[in-house]
Amino acid sequence: MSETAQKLLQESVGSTVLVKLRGGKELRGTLKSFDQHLNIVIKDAEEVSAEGSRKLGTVVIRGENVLLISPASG
Amino acid sequence: MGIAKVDNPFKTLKTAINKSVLVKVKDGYEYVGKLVMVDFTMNVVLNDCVEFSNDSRSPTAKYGVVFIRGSQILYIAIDYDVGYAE
Repeated sequence: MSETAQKLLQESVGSTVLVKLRGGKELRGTLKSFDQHLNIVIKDAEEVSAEGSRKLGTVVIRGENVLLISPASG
Repeated sequence: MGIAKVDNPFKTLKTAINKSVLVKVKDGYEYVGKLVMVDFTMNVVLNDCVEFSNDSRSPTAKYGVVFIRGSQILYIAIDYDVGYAE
């Protein structure tokens, strides 16, 4: 198992991350947990798009759709 | 530790059973309803479900019970009923 890549994600638990999804959507929120499929739980999630953002609360994202996860500062 | 993490998002999903959730699927449709059951492939069953198309605010359809295939799901907002709606 690729321990190091997971470790990077593990270090981001509790901090704000930007998750880019297939289809051009982006979600920002606090990373709560993830699994080997890259299913992700984020708290206080906001869907960010060109038209503005939309609050969604706690969101479980299906790993299949995740393009990238970026630890965001501020 | 690996094992504990494996079912974590799934556990979170199970805490939402009997609550109102928003399920967004890949083609942009959104389904808001009461979560009845969920399995490990993320198939979900919603009760009293309302369908919205592509971020539009007005419902496009209503269903009594729907089964949504897990592979079609983009994300699920699980505390959608507590102040996030609208």
